[in-house]
Amino acid sequence: VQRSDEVRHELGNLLAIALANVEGMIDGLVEPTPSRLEAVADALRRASKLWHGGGAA
Amino acid sequence: MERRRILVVDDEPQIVEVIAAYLEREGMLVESAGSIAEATGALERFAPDLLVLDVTLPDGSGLDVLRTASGHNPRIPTIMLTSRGEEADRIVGLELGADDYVTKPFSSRELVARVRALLRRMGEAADGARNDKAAHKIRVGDLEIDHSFHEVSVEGVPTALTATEFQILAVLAENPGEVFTRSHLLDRLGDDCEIYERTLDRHINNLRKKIEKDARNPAYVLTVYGVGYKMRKA
Repeated sequence: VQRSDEVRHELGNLLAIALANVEGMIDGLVEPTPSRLEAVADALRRASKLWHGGGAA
Repeated sequence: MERRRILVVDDEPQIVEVIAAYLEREGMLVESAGSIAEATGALERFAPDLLVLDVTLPDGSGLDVLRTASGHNPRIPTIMLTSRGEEADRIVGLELGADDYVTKPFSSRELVARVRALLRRMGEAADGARNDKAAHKIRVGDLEIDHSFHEVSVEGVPTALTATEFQILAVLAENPGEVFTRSHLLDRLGDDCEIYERTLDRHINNLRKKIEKDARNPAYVLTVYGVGYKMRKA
């Protein structure tokens, strides 16, 4: 199924947020604070919802 | 050496924050903007050496920022962030000419490597212009390439090339008649082939549109089928 451009764009953004945070933590550039980890989880939850066709996150 | 100034334009604060942290670790000076409006102010105030620019911004397209930036510095090195490869191909293909792109989601490490590569290339261009060998003007037919001023003119009319287009042209024109394979050409540009090979043909096409009378039947930058490219002999 072809995903709409909007969904694709939003998915790309959410995964980029999660990846940037986690890589930054591994490389010691951002602190793995609870709020930072929650932001990663939040981005992945929203991405999952989009992935399942749950509409705009 | 003076610290390189990088303007990062993206409307996701967390992405900007992490990219900034990576670039600052490399000794670069970073400013960020989350919209076209903010970016326009930052271009004036900060005078960046390089742009990292998201295509999609809340108040319009990142290409508008590139247009404004080109008014300040026509050859400002630019890396676009985009969510679609096709879109990116189109952008690199536009006359406005970004130099490279990464598609979201991307690895910050990869982005930093590309920023470094592009800056290195710019640095080499500047160094090249300073040394005597390269300081002279190169003439091929009606085409004149001036390293000192980083300028190109066709029949005396100046034409604005992106940093990458200028580099490609300079390498070919310094060695008229010599055939460069894509990877050989990329080596000479001082880049990681893996990073730039996919966009090289695009840059060549853009370059031809700007310097050739008929880009489909080029008189200067010639295709050697199955091999690569060469500049015609003067």
